[in-house]
Amino acid sequence: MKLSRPVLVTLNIAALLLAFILIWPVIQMMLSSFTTDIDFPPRNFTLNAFGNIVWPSYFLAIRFSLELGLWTTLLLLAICLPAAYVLERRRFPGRSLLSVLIFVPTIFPGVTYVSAIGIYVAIFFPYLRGTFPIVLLGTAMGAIPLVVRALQASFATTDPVYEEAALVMGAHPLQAFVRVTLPIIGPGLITASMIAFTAAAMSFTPAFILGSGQPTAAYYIYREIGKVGFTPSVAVMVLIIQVVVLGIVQAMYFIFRRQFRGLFV
Amino acid sequence: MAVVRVESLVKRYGAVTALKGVDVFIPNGSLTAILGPSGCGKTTLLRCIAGLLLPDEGRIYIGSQEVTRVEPFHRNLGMVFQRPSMFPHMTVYENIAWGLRLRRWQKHEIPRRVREILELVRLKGMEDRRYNQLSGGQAQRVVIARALAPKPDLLLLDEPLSALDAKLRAELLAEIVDIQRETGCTTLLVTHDQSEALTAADNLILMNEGEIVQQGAPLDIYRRPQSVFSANFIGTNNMLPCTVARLDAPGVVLKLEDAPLELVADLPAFPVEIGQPVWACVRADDIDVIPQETAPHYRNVVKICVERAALTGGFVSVEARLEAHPLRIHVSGSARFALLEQSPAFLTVSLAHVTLVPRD
Amino acid sequence: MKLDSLTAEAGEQTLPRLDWRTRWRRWWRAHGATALLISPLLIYMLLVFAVPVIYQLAFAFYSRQLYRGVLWLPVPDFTLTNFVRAFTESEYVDSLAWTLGVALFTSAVSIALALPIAYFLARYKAFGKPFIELSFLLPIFGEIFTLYALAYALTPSGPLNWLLMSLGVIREPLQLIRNPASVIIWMSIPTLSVLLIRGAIAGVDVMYEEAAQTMGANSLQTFWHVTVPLAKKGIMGALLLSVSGGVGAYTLPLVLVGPNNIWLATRIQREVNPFYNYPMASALGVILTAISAALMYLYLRTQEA
Ligand SMILES: Nc1ncnc2c1ncn2[C@@H]1O[C@H](COP(=O)(O)OP(=O)(O)O)[C@@H](O)[C@H]1O
Ligand SMILES: [Mg+2]
Repeated sequence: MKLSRPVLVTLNIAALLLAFILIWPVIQMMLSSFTTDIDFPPRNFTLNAFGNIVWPSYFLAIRFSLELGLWTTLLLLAICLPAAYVLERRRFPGRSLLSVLIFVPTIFPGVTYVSAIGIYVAIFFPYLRGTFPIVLLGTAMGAIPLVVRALQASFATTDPVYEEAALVMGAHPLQAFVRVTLPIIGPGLITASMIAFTAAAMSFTPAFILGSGQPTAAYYIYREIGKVGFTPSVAVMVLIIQVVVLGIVQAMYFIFRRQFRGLFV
Repeated sequence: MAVVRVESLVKRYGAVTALKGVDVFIPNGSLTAILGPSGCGKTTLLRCIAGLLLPDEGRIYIGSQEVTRVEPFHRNLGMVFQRPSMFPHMTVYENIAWGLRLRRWQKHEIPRRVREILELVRLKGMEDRRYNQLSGGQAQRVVIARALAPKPDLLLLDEPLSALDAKLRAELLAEIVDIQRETGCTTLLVTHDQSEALTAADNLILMNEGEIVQQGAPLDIYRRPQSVFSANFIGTNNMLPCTVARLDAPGVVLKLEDAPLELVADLPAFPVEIGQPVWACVRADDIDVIPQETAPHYRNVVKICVERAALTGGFVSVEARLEAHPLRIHVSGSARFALLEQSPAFLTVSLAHVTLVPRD
Repeated sequence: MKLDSLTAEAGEQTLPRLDWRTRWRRWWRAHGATALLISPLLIYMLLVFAVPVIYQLAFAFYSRQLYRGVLWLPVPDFTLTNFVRAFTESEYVDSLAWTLGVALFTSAVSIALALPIAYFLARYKAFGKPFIELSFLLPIFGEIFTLYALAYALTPSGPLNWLLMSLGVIREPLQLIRNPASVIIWMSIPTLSVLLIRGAIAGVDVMYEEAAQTMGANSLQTFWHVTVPLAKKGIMGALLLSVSGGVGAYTLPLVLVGPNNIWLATRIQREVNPFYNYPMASALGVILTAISAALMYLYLRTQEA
């Protein structure tokens, strides 16, 4: 419908304002990273904050986050790719029930089943408490519905005719999957990997509740805030992990984009 | 190249039975068309032959070998699908070459074969293009080339032209016929378009509701339909309810129902007896408008009253009534148009060619 | 989809009875590959999700006992004590009521704010569109880091207090960190819901709005009586997401208020650590899950209509 100009201008300003409010914390954090204190308006720009970080232990946390991201991505692709393929391509009794069941975790607030896992492990496998596999399993669980959905969507938008054509041409099903299906769903595969990787590398709750030793970057920063409060050096840490994770995601996207040239155009 | 035989094939999808005991024979080197309305099970039959579907009952032979349960990748077929299926992540060359590698062609033969086949489908010089750099017709030609390149025993075409526009369709169809003649590859063409089937095929299989209705040479099916479905599906056919009055060598004399009228027809392929109800089929194109005075020279001369006439394309389509029965006539040629203009309300026509199909 | 599998099963039952070996072989031939491909995910979800959650449900009815004087272990008593405590003791009741109340209130506010903006973004080409869209997606990417960043904007010497003081609204800086108000404010700001509602509104044909206007409805009436009802499914989806996010809020209060906050999720975590009261934690977890499930059910109901 036609809205009057003042109304439109008001709405546009409101939208921009909202966007600004949402983006501002990030800008503020950047400002805080390069000053001696966190006051506004920012004064005394320095790089001191970078010197006040215990780099070795923070690097360990970042490395742990990235490792967790990598393993989660591999684990989830390994188990979700075949499942999403089957759910989208095969007809079998109980298919609709299964595709609903896989999305049940979305209705559970993350913290409830993560603590359920924690309690379960504490009671039945006390010797596994806080180990990497448990943290990994808990972290990956949260991303399953998203990853399955992304993969399913890319299978759904890819015509099965390509696989069938490959079969008739003499390709074994596995060959057809690797040479035809995977490249064609490539963009969806990257999206799914990106979702899995970011979710895990930025995760806080599973490592916080299930882990005992090595913190993820998010958890490390949380502990740091508990110790020293909101200081410029904490801001630097937040900035660094975000740049690293988003940088990796962007690089992945860029590299694969060239790989799947014909499909993105 | 091979003969294909399908024996009492049954395929069910849950409660729907898509194929109800289908028997098909495809002669070596023929271009066989399977013609039938949408949803009659053509694709299902083709996919069973390709091995993409496992039939519930029945057998399929390609050459001398039974392949009913053989995996599709062991069947040595070429297939062109209803929807575009050129691999979008491979170039034209890669699309074709990959198929050759899968069929274990010698490495050094592949480039030569790809060039040869691209020449055949008139795509020379497009080796390095991808799907998004080709038109719909070109992409479909790539798929045909890809299917033919490894010299398959059988080429399956599932409505290969349905995604194209009318002009391209006619062009590509002619090319498919040429290519088939040149390669001599046994070809099965599935279509719901009768003109496509009649144009291309040397052997026609008519299908309806999961069953084979009639199989034979296209002209033969056109001239001598054996069922109501065959008669109605190809061309514009008039169906007049009659009973057999007497057998009169070399033909049959029929009495039109609810009217004091007799028609003469050729002896049908099925046995008839006196008093038996039959349909008399007369094609709209087989009804000839004649000057009244020449009537004695013609067969089955009747008077009809015209209800509507409209020029459609190259002929006038006339809706008329023969006694109580509706009759459609295609009138073509200036001389006939003149007759139509002279007496727009009543016409004397000759039902030149009447065939019988059973009626119960 | 549902019909397919039903009819397929019905079809199988009409076949003559075969001995289990043949039946199994047939089933394996038809669905073996499917079963193999899907089982890793199912086993994973069974072991890492279903079993712990089912145990949680069971533990909710247990009591606890000190084991060797060091460890509190759940004991299968099958009592309702935990639930009775959850609904009677004030610390739990307060926590429940607060969590739910805040979730509902903030969702209502955020959807109300989102509606006009979403409409504008759906129908008009906004100035600064990429910037606006990016900003709504930002909080999903690494949610917790957004929260850390947010804290920097809310400190006493931070920009919000600076702005309010410069405008003369306040004299003394507000203590926004360690204050539940900051959580409420942040939850009220629409993010993803703007994009969801925008999608729903974009799916409503402008024709209907134009029809309403030719019938004499003004813009507000058109929006309220035509656009909103037609986009109801998407709006309800956004609302559900918002409410269930609010009910399960964990990191937001943890970062902005601290580890001793009143929100239910934090309460659950505190029952585990430091109190080691697994049964109580489980009971609260079950309640939280039940609320989420009820919301989901309501949502599905609105999607059917
Ligand atoms: N996967 C399927 N599940 C259920 N029914 C199907 C499936 N595929 C086809 N059918 C049904 O089988 C019949 C034949 O389909 P098809 O072979 O595709 O027809 P055609 O190719 O002649 O148009 C149709 O009634 C169709 O609805
Ligand atoms: Mg078809």
